[in-house]
Amino acid sequence: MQANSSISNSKTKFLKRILLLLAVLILLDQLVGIVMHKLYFSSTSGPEYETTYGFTKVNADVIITGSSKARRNYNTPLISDILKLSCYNAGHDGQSLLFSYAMTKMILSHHLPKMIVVEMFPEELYYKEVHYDRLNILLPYYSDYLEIREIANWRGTRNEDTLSFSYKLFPFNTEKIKLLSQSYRYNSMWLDLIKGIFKKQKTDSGYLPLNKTITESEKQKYVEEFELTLKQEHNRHIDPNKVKSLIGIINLCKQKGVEVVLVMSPVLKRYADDPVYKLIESISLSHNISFFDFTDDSRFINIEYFADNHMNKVGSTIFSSILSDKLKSVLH
Amino acid sequence: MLLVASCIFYMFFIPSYILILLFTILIDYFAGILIENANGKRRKLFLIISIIANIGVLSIFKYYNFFVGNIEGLAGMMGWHPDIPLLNMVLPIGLSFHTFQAMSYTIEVYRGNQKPEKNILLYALYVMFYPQLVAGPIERPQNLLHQFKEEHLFDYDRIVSGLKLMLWGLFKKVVIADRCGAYVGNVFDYPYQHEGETLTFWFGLFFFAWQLYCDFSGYSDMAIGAAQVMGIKLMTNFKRPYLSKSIGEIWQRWHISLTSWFMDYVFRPLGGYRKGRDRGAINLLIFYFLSGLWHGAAWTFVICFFIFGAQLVFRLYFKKQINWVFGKLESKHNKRWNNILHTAVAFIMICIPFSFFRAHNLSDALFILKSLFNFGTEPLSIGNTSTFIYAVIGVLILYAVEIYQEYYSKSDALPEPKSGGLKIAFYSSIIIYILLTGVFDASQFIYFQF
Repeated sequence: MQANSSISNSKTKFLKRILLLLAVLILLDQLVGIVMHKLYFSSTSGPEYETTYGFTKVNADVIITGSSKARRNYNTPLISDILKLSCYNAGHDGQSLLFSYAMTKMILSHHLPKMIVVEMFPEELYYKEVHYDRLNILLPYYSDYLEIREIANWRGTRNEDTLSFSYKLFPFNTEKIKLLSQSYRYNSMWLDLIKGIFKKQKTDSGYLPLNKTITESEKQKYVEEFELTLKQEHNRHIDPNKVKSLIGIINLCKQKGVEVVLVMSPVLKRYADDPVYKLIESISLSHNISFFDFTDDSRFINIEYFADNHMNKVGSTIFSSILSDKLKSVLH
Repeated sequence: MLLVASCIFYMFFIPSYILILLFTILIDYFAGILIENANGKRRKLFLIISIIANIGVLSIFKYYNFFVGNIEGLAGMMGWHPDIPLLNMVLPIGLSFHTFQAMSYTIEVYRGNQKPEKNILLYALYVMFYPQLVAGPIERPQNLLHQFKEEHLFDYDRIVSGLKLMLWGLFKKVVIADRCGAYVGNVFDYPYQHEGETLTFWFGLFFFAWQLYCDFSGYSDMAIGAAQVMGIKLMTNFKRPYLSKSIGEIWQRWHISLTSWFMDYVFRPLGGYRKGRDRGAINLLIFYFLSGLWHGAAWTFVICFFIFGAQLVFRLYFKKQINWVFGKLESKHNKRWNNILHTAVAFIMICIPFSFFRAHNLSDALFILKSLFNFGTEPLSIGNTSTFIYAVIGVLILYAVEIYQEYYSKSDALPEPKSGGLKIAFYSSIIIYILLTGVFDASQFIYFQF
């Protein structure tokens, strides 16, 4: 009898403590969320600021979206001069088409540019875990901007086989559960936010040129390591979310009357037999939009134009000048 | 109920693979009963059948392609090019863990240390108990089986300490291991891009050692904690190995359930150190060779563990000389300095062979080893500074906690405030720190692949 009552007491104690822990946790989480939100949205430079600027304030006529290749390869001041239109580079390091889709949705929700240029790299359409990981950049906007929710939620169902036993048993989008936490939305950001207070990195046009030049042996290493990565990537497959993103960008622009152009800027080495080229080509043809592929352009088979696997300032200037002429023809 | 939960847990990965588990469960269950009822050579025969069945399953799924690759390589050297078909199958998750646990059952029944379990469901639960099914600890029947038959009453302290252990395990996994993993990946996946960056390779190795430890011991903590919440006490798997003062001590504190398995069923039956130093050295090399093979069907694992064995053999033969060198470096008055010296040397000795463990192939591993001493003009590339700092903060927290446990509290309890209210605030802060700094991508536990 005494044992039963002691167990019952400790169960009550346990329950009380758990509830108290939950209450403190929720309170602390909200508090941290508010502080991080303040820090994030009050930053005036760095990647956080640039994302917010692209999402909410950009008002240029020509906007470039994409990854670090967009930021390094597209000399936006030059493009602006040639086209006689304002131009902003909204590329973001480490991102992919998934981010470009979010960026396009956000831009078109507050501004109608004349043209959106989507930079794509050749492996763009393949499934890559890391591209979903890096979508954490969208999480601070999750509650306030409904446009990007669908894309942010893909983090929880990335590569999920909906026919699998586990998904049938527990069809949860784990990301939605994690996003109940306010702190989680700023995961992996607190150090950058603190750094941002002290270190200002600002570009007016979004263009971040590289000044070094790659050597032949460095190029060889990049190529070898890329080929090794390809070998190690078993089950390489086209990501349906990325195809959806690409078509989503095109359709959204068409609906809003914005010209959209797909561009593949020059690369260190082209893999001609990759089926992804044909896929992008067929998407651009079926949607009647321009697709400029510079990956096999002989004018850029020159290491003097590259800093690493991105172009350097010299290369990006030549490329941007040639591209601008093509964009001009699309605009007129 | 626990068995059903365990089956569902296992079927989360590849449902049909549960049939492989059922096959070995049936074989070992009946082998246990037959061993008990048989005499003389027949006892041994049933044990051998059980071991062959277990090793057979392991060989087919884990080692078949490795053997075929090696046979083809050898044949190729002799000018013969056989085309042996390869198996295109995913390795069943945690196969090496539950196979070894199953084998320990029949061996212990054979040795008379364990009565055979008559209830097949209980025996199946022994093999499949979900907290430790996919990555250990590799349990012994004497420790685990009887616990399934006992009644587990609600015990506040036991449950709370289990939950705390699970939280610490989660912290180690997502805040430390996966953070270190980002830096490690950059170094080991693209080693040639870092040529000449000596410190980058050293940091890569150190971070990998911390990643591996926190990944695996983090899982063990979560498994042990989850079992503890249910009233089941699993064996300790890690005892702060990186605070060891010698490489021998590290192996007494690292993956204890596997080390003791090989000790009990391989090293001691071979004679251990009883038959002299030379035989002891050979037994040690066999022990570590098999440990390497257990980890993975690749020469990188075998070589890595063979080096660990060779380090111990070296210590066996040159103990006096090693002590003489340490004697020169040790301080007469500062015991703390001596502890740091021994701990640091042991840690570095264990890190170097890890280059084989993590590298994609032998040539990468050799390049990394060479690069540790190749001094270029740009010695260190940090990569993403934030990732690097998050990892360093995580490692500092790890050492702070473990030093407290090892030298101050002399227990496995986490350092926590005394008062109840502060305790709740303390654990809430840990959860918030995990949410802010943990890596929540789709990374797996390293040891799941074994």
